[in-house]
Amino acid sequence: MAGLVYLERNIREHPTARAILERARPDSIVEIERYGEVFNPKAQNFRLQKQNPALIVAEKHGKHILPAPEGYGIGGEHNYYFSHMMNCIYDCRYCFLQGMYQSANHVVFVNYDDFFEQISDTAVRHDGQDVWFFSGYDCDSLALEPVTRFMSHCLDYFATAHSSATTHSTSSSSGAMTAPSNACLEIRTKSTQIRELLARDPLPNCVVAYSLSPQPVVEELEHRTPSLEKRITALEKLQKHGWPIGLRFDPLIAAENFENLYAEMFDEVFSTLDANNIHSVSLGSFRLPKPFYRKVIKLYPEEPMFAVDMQPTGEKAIMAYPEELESGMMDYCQQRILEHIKTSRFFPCNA
Amino acid sequence: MFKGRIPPPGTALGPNTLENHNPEPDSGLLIVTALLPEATPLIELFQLKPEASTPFRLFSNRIPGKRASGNRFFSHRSVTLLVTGIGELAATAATAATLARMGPQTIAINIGVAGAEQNLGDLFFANSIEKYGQPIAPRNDSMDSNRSGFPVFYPHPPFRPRIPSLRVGSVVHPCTDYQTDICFDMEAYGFCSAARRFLDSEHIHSLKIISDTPQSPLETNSCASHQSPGFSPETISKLIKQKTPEIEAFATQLYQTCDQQRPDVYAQSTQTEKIREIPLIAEFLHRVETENRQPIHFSVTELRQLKRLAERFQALDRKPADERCISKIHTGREVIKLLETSINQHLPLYEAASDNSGNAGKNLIPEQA
Repeated sequence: MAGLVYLERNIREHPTARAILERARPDSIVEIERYGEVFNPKAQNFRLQKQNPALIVAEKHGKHILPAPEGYGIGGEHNYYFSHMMNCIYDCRYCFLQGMYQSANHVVFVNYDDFFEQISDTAVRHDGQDVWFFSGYDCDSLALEPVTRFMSHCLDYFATAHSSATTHSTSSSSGAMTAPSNACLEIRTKSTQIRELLARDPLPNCVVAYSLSPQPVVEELEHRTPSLEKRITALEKLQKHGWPIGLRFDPLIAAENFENLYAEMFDEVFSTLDANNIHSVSLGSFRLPKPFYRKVIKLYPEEPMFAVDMQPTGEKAIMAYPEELESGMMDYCQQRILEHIKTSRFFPCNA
Repeated sequence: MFKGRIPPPGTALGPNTLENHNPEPDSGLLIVTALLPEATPLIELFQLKPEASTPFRLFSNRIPGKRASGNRFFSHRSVTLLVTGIGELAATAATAATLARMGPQTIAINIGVAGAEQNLGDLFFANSIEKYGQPIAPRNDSMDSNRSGFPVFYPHPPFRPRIPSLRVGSVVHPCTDYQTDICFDMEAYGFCSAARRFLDSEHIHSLKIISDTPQSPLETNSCASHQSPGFSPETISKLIKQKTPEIEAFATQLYQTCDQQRPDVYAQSTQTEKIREIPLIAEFLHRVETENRQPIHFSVTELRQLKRLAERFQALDRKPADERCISKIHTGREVIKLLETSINQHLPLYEAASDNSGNAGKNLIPEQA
């Protein structure tokens, strides 16, 4: 399945690493000291690497759980994100990862338990308050699940939150890790790899959230992703199975035919799904930090979406559509969404 | 400098024109070998001719008016072959000197013989290249020479090669400590060290043909002079020649992949004066300068802004509008402003394809139905 795998020498006997290699069936394995040797050097061509990315199997050190940007959330008081992978198998033209990383290779971290331990520690610090953990920030949560099985382990961990009597409980009597009862998970994805989710009981503290774009935008900008129709079908199956589902209309892409594009998508989404049984809907316009934006333009100078006027905004030098254009797009979508969804479930993103 | 005549669209003009000065460097394929016997079959394959007046032995298909290569794919593309001499220093110096006069889109492939406990004549692409027997830098996330140890290079082709891969260890002296998981050469590390200063890592690769094995070892005694690697020139040429179809296929696929993913021609223009030659810009400036009867001067920054504006017009398939304002334009800044105002009015149009099956089929991991 994979062409080349780089494997950190110190984890070559790690059970998760062995399992990943067995499933990935690489042509060859190259041992390395640390993933940074391959991932971080400059003078790598992200666009070229995207044509045949290697898989890097590594151990994550340091902080696994990070605070989510301000304005990012779905109603919880405390928001954090984590990434068991760096980079994504999809190739969305607007993705900030292509501006952030030197390399398009996929890094998969194998020390899953360390993620869960830090999730527990973080949730316990906010005793009595819901703490949201967002997966799929620096990768797609489910797209590489057949190889990593991370989300399967993650759901096993979050499933224990039901049995944990208090938010203080982080380990069961058997020694297995237990999620605090205030820990909530968002699984952000565009993937239709939902077999695992449909095979298990839904968890009330885990939301499966799909990023959705109009089909013509999917075709032009979200390369290698499932179609809008397939994503909606996956959402429908998950909803019928009892999983809390989320809709993420983010990023909105400026277009000459914007209203037609998005109206058609909203009609398709809300005519298929039970709108009263949607956990949350979020909305955000296309934005990129200025250095990322500059890098992405160099990679794809011919891309029409980058030919649109973008202006620096705020103190963080974020590049965004001109205010009038952005607010027009946001207002239009908000109005259409609120025809179907209660305001309490709607979260426009200000990050 | 400006005599009142406005050159026609598509030609360079004005104070920033430096025609025939510092021409755009030639990219294309650069093959780097250590020895002439390694190069000979490749010189024949690409029908290369020796270049005069170079400090290193250089061959190319650059003949005025046409390419001489008999190879089908490379017959219309620039091919250069460099013979560096034996050892890391020779490889570094010659590669650097050659790449310094080539373009940043050059594809550089080191081709040569190596020793390993593998089958004689087997071909491998290098999946890692290290300075064998020397301390390795703990994390080579930069090329800083002041770090302790030496970085390891990890070449990774932007496609899935049909040939197997192997570690390459570059040694200072010929080595007969043959191993199965690494082959030994003397130049790949020096080649990579130099090439990484000029090119993206995806453009730099090394192909090794096994020339000496435990069953057919190097005659180390004959290497003392470093003039001969321990086997006859005929043997080396024969080993390389047997693998020229695979070498050619690798080079072609690498070149094609890099070419397909190369941003459009505007982004390749490394010289600001070339920007005035972009058809859309040249045509527009011609109209403006004709109307004004004087040339418009641009700073280097403004020329770069012009280039980006041309890319934006091309991306959205638009042409500059508002002809009425042309007579009011007298400076480079005003040109930029007008073009910006013009292109800022446009947005892309996204339309559905005939089928909406998405594009997940191209992915490595099949999506579930």
